[in-house]
Amino acid sequence: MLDADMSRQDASNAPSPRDAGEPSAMTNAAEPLKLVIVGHVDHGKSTLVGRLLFETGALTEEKLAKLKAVSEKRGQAMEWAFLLDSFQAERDQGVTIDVSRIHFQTARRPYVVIDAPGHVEFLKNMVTGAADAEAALLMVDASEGLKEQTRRHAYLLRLLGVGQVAVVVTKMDLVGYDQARFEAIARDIEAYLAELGLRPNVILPISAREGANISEASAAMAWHRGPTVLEALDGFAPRPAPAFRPLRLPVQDVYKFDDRRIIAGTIAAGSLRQGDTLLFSPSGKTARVQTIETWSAPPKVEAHVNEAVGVTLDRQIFVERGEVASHLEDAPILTNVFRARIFWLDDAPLAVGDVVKIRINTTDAEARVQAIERVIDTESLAGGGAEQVKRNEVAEIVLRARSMLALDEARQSPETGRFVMSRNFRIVGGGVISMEGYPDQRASVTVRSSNLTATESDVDRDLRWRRNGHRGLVVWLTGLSGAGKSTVARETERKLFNKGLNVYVLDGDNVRGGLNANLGFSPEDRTENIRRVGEVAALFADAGVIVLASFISPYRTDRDRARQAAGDAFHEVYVKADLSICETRDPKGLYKKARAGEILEFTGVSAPYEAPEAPECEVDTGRQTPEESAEQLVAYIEQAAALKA
Amino acid sequence: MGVGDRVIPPLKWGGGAKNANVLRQATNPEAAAARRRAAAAILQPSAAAAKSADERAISLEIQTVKPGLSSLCRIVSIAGDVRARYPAAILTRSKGQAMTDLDELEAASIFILREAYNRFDKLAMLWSLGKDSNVMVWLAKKAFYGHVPFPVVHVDTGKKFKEMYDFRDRYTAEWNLRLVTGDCPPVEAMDPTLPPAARSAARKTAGLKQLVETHGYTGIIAGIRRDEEAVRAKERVFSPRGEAAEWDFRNQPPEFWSQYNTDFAPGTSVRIHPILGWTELDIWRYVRREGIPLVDLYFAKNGKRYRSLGDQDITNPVPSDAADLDAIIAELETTKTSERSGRAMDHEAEDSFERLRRDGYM
Repeated sequence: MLDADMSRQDASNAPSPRDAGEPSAMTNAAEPLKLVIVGHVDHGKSTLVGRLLFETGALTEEKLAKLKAVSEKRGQAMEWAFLLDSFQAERDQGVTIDVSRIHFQTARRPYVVIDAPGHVEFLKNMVTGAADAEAALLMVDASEGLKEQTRRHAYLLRLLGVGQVAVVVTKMDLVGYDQARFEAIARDIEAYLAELGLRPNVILPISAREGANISEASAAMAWHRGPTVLEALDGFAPRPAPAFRPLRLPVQDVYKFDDRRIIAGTIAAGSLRQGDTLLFSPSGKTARVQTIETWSAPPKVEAHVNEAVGVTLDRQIFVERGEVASHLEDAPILTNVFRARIFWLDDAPLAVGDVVKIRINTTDAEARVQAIERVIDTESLAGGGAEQVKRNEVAEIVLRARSMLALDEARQSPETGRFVMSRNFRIVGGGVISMEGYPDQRASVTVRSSNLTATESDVDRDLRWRRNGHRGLVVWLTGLSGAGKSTVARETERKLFNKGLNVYVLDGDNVRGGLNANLGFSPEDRTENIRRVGEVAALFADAGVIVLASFISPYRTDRDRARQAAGDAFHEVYVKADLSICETRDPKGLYKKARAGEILEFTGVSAPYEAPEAPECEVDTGRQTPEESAEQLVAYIEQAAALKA
Repeated sequence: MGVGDRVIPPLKWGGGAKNANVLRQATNPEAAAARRRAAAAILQPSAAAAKSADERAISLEIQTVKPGLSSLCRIVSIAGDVRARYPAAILTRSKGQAMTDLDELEAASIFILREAYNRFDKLAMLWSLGKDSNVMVWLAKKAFYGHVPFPVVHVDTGKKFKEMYDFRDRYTAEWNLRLVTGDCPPVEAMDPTLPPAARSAARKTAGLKQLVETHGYTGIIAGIRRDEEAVRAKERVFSPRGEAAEWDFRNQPPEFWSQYNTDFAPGTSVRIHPILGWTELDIWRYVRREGIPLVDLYFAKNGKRYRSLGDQDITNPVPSDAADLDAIIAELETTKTSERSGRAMDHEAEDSFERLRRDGYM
C-alpha cells in the first residue's frame, strides 16, 4: 500500500499535476480576506472575535469546551475573549499582547482575523497586524466613546495603507441600546476619520457579549437599519493586486546552483515577459529576459505581480540583491534623499542626526535623519517641529542615505514606496515615501553614451597652471536667494582680476539665458541646471581659470556631484545669512511673490535649502559688509590658487 | 550642525493632516465643512486623479451609495462583488490566470525561504517527516529550482513510526537532501514538573538544542502554522530566540509589509516559519495539487488515521474513513475537531503548550 501510494503521488520527476485539473470540491476556495480589528484597550476587540467565531461555526467542539472550562474556572460567564487571549499572561492581565490570527468563514468567503492589541504599550504588535490587513474593524466602546488609541489606530490604518474601515460601536448593552448615544459617537468618529481622509464603509452598533447585530439584526436596536457585522464584512472588497502599474521586481538573490544564473525575486508590481528588456536600478544595467524558470510546474513566458520568480538574462551582467528591475520606461526614482511619514516604535527616541538602517524592497542602506519636520499629535492632528520622535509617535522626517536608492513615491506605488527602519538589530519603525521638493536624480547619474573614449591632450593641466601662475579652481558659492552670492562674487572677481588672475563668474544670469535656457525651476530642472554648471565649471578650471560659480544650489547631492566633476579643484563656499535677513533684503522682490504664492517651489519658502555640512569656507554676509566678505574670499582664493613649489 | 542652519519648509504632501491642522483653528461651521470635503477628497479622488486602474476600480465602488439607509449608516464602499463587476483583468492581470489562494501562499513562503537563505550562513530546515515539513521541502525545491541548498535536520526521538523512518531514507535519496540527524536525551533528564506527555515532547526541544550547538546553526526553518494552536498563532515569521533558545513572547519584534527582520546580534538563534500563515486545509490542498508524497499513516486504515504525527507513544489516531486526499480534504471541510486533538500534551494543563513553546519547543 505504501509503495503503490507513493508512486501515485510522487511527482518530483514529473510535470506538476496541477494542469490535470483538481477535483472541484474545494479548489475554487475564495482567497481569505485579511481583516484587522483595532481600537482602544478594553473596547471589546477580542470579545467580538470570539463571538464571530462562535456565530460562524468556526469553533471546534474542543475549543468551545475548553473555553467553557476556563471561563468557569475563573468564575465568569462565557468570556469570548479567552479564545484569543491564549497566553496565560494575557488571561491574567486581561490584555491582548500580541497578534493572533484566526480563521472563519461566512457564506460569502473565508476570513483571516488579526486581533490587534489596544494597549499603547503594544503598538508594534498592532502595526504588525494592521499592515497586513485589507480591511479593518475599528472598535469603539459605546460607554466610553473615542479614546486615545481609537484615534492613533485610525491614524496608523491610514499610514499603513488600510483604506477600508468599518466602525463598530460595541457594548451597546451597557448604554441601554440608546440610539442618541450611538449617533453622537458615530458623528465624532466620522469627523475624525474625515480629517484623515478616511471614510468608513459603515458605522454600526453592536453588543458582542449579547450577540446583537453580529449575524442577526438586534431587536433591541430596531432603530438601526444598517447591516450586521457579518454583512459589513462581506461588503469589504479584496485588495486588488497592483497589476497595471509599472514593473517592479526587487532582486532578492542571485542563484548559481547549476549552469543557470538565476535572478530571483518577488514581483512587487506589474508584469514581465520573456524577451523584455529589464533595467536594473540603481546600477543602470540592462539585459533581456531569456527564460522565466520554474520547477515542477509548466514553463512560463510571463509572470505577474506577487509571483516569486526567477529569470535568466541574455547576457552576463553583475546584478545583486537590492537592485530593482523595471522596464526602460517607467523606471523607479533614483535619489539619496527623501521625505517620509513614519511611525516610531523604539524605546529610544529618534533624533536629528541619528543613523538608522533602512530597507526599501530588498535594498538595505544606512540613512541619517537630516530633519524632523514635525511630530504629529494624533489626538488633535496638530504638530510642529521637534528635535526627536519618541516611541509610538508619528512624524514627518527627511532621510539621507549614503548611497543612491531606487524607490517610488508611496502615493504612486505603495508597495515599493515604503520602508522599514531598524536599529540595534530590531525593526523600530516604518514609513511611507514622498519626494515633494526633491528631484529624481536618475537623469543626472545616468551616463547615456557608452561609446565615448576620452582623448588625452598633450597640454596638461599643470602646464596651463604654470603659465598662468596659479591653479584653476571651482569656487562654488551656495546660499539662499538674497544672501549676497552674486554681489560677493562680482566684487571678488573684480579684485582678483585686478591682481592679474584669470577669473570668471558663472551665475544664473549667464547660464540660464543660453546653456540652460531649456530648464525651469522644478526639482528635476534645478538638479540638471546645477549638473551642467558643475561640468562647465570643471572644464573652466581644467583650462586654468578660477571660476566663481554663484548658485543657490539648494541640494547637497547636487553640490556633491559638482565636487565630483571638479575633483580637488572644488571649493565650497557657504554664503550664509538667515532667512529673515534675506527676506528683508529681497533685492528682486522674489520672497514677497513666493509668500503670496505667485512663485512655486521657492527655496527657503516652499522648497528646501540644505546648508553645506563642511564647506571649505564660510562667508557670513549677515554680519559682514559685502566688501568685507569679498576681501575674506579673495584671501581664501589666493591661498587656494597658489602653486605648490 | 545645529538645526537653525537649515531652512526647510513643512511637509505638504498627503495634505490631510496638515490642512486639517491649519483649518482646525477656524471655528466657523463653513470652514469645518470645507475641511471635511478637502479631507474626503484625499481618499476619494476623482476617477481622473486616481493613479491606477486598480484605484479607479475601488474609487468608483466607493461612490456607490446605497439609498434608503440612515445617514450614519451609509454603506458606501465596496458593497457587492468587485470581481463580478469588473473584468478579472482589471483586478488581477491582463493575461494568464489569476493567482489562486494556494499560489499566493506558495509565493509568500518562497519569499521567506529566499530571505532566510540570503541572510543566514548557518541555516537548516527541520524535517519532521510530517505533511507540513514535506510541504516545506517542496517549497524549498520550488524556491531554489530543484535544489535544497541547506541541510534538512531530523531530530530523532527514536520513537517515530517505522513508516516514517522508511520515508526518510527514501526521500533523502530521491530529493537529494543533505540529511542531518540528532538524538534526544532521555525523558528522565527533562523538567519533572511538566505533565507526562509534555515532558516526553520536551525531549525534542533538548535534542534540537544539542544539534544546534553541535552544528552552530543560526537559522532554523520550522514548519509550524498559526492555526495549529492558539500559542503558535502569536508567532513571528522570523522569530529570534535568546541564548538558551527561549522565546520572549512578551517582547517580540514588529513584522509588517513583508519586511522581515533578518539582522540579529551575534549569537542569536532565529526560528524561521515559512508556512506560518497556512491552514491545515491549505496544506492538504497543496499536497494534492502538487502531488507531494506523504507517509501513509495519514490515510485511514480500519476506520482510523493520524491527523498529526508525533512520537508513537504520545500520538493517537483519530476515527476516520478518509483513505485518500480527496476524502481527507472533504473531512477537514466539515470537522469540528482540532488537528492536534491526537497530541496528548496539548490537553494536560491550560498552559502546558505555552510552557513548552517558551522553552523552545517547535
